[in-house]
Amino acid sequence: MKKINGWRVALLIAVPLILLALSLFIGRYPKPYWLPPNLLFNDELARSLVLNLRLPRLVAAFLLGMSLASAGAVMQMLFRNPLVEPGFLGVTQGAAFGAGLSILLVGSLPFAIGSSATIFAFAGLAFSYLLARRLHYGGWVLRLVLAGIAVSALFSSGVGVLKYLADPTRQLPEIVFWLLGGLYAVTWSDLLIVLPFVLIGLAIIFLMRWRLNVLALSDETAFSLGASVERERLLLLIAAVTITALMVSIAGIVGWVGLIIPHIARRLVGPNAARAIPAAMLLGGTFVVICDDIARSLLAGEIPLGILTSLFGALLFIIMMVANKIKVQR
Amino acid sequence: MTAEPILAFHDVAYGYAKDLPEAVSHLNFDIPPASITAILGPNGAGKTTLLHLALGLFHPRCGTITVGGKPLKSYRRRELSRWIGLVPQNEYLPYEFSVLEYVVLGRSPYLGPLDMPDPVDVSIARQALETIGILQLEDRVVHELSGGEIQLVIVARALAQQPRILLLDEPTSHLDLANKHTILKTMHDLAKTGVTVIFSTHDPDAASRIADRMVLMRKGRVLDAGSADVVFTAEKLSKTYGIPVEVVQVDGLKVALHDERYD
Repeated sequence: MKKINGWRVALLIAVPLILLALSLFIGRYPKPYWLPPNLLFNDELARSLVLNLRLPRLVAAFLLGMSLASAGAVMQMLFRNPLVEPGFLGVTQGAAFGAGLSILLVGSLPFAIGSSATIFAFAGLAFSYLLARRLHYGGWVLRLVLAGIAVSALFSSGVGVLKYLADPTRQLPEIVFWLLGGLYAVTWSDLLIVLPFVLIGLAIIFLMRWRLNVLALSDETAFSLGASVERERLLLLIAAVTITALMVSIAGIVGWVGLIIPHIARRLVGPNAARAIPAAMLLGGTFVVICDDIARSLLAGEIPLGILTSLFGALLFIIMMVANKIKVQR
Repeated sequence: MTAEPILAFHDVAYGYAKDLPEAVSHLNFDIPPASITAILGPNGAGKTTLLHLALGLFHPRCGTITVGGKPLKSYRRRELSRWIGLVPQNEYLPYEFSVLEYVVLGRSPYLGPLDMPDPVDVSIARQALETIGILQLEDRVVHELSGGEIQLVIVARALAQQPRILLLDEPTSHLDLANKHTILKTMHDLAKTGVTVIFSTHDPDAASRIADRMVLMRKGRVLDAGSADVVFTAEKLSKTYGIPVEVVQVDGLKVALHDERYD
C-alpha cells in the first residue's frame, strides 16, 4: 500500500492547530494585525473580543472549510466526477434565494436570513431530487446532475428578480454582500444551533470514508461487494448536502472550497478516501481560516470571504492545471 | 450421481420494467461446484442479464434461483457477496488507485460500512495478487497498466472477496491473443482450487478452450445447457448464432468456424 510520508501527516495536523491558536490574536484590535497575548489578562475588552467574537468566528471558519471540502470530496467520489462541488444540487442557489427573499421581506435580521437560507437550501435539494426522479433516461448520476443544473438556474434567476426588486440603497448592497459570503455576523448562538447537525454529518462522512471507495465503483461492482448501494449513497449524500446547506446558511456563498480542496487533498495523500477525506477536512478548515483571517484583518473594512476563497481557489486551480496535477481518466 | 449444484436456475424470467416484455425467460440450468461454465451466445442474447440475476442484482419476475441449495432470496446482502464475486464487463475507476488499494476493496463483504481494512485484509489481497501472478504490480497505479493487466487486477479484486462462485462478464472480449490466453489460464487454474467459474462470452473459442459446461443462449432463452462435449456441436451453435457454423477438431481442441466465403 502506498506509504505516506509521516511528515506530511504531522504537518496536516500541526499546521491547522498552530494556525487556529495564532488566529485568535490576529485582527484589528488594539492595533492592526496583532493582539499581544498578555493583553488577554489585563484588557477586559480584548478578552471579550477574543472569546465572544474571534473564537466563534474561527470555529465557524474551520467548520465551514471542513464541511465544504469533505462534502465536495464525497460528491466527487459518489458522482465519479472531479468537477462537481457540494452546492450543485440546487443547494447554493436555493440558499442565496432564501437569503435574498428574507432581506427583502423581513430586513436584515441575521437569524431570519439564516433560517430562510437553510429552508430554501433544502427546498432546492428536495426539488432537484424530485425532479431527478421524474426523469426517465440516463443513470442516476446524469439525472441528478441535470436536475441540479435546472433547479440552480431557476433559483439564480429568482435571485436576479430579487436584486431587481430590491431597494438599491439599502437592500441591494446587503443581498450582494450576503452573496459574496462572510462570517462577520457569526455568534455563539448561531453556531450552537447548527453545530450538532454539522458534527453528525461530518462524523458520518468520516466514519464511512473507506466505504466511499466501494460506493464510487460501478453499481454492479459495489453491489457484488456487499454494499446496499442506493441506501448507503443516499445516506452520504444527505450528510454532505446537510452540512453544506447549514454552513452556507450562516456564511453565505463561499465558493471554490468544495471544488478545489478535494483535489489538493488527493494530490497530497492519494485518492483513497480513507486518507483523502480527513486530509480534505483539515486542508479545507485551514484554507478557510487563512482566508477569513485576511478578510477580517487586512483592511479596515471587512473583505467578503467569498471573494478571497474564489480568488485563491481559482489561482490554485490554474496552478494545478498548468502543473498537470488534475488528472481525470475516462 | 453428480454433486449437488452450487447454482441452479428454475424457470427464471426477468423484465427490466413492469410494462416491458421479458428480457430473458425460461432459464433452466444447474451448475456443479468447481466447474467452469461458459454462457455462450450472440450479442444481446441476455448473457449479462443472466449474470446479474445470479448475482442477486436483479430479482426474477418468476422462477427461483438457488445458491448452495438455498434460495438466493434468503441470503442477506453481505452473506451473498461472500458467496459470489463479479468481474464486470466494464470496470470504471474514477481516481488513480494503486493496484493493492483497489484489490483491498474486495474485502468489503467482510467489513461493515464503518470498518477499515486491517493488515489481515491487506495480506489476503496480496495473496490474491500472488495467486494470479501479478504481485509485482501492487504499487502501480491501475490506470497506467495495459488492458490485460487491468483485467487480471479486477480478477484479483474479485478473488480477495474469497467467493465460492466467480462470475465474469465477457472477460476476454477486448483482449489480444496473449492476454486472452492469460485470463483463460487464470480462470482454469482458479477452478482447480475449487472456485466455481461462470463466464459469459460471445466467442465460441474462449468457451471451448476452458469450459466443461456450457449454456447456449439466444434471444433471452436457453437453447441448451449441459456438458461441453454434448452442447458444443455444429447444429446447436448454428442455431445459437443464426448462421451456419462448423465444428472442427484441431489437436483435440474443438474450434467453431463460420463456413462462408465472400467472393
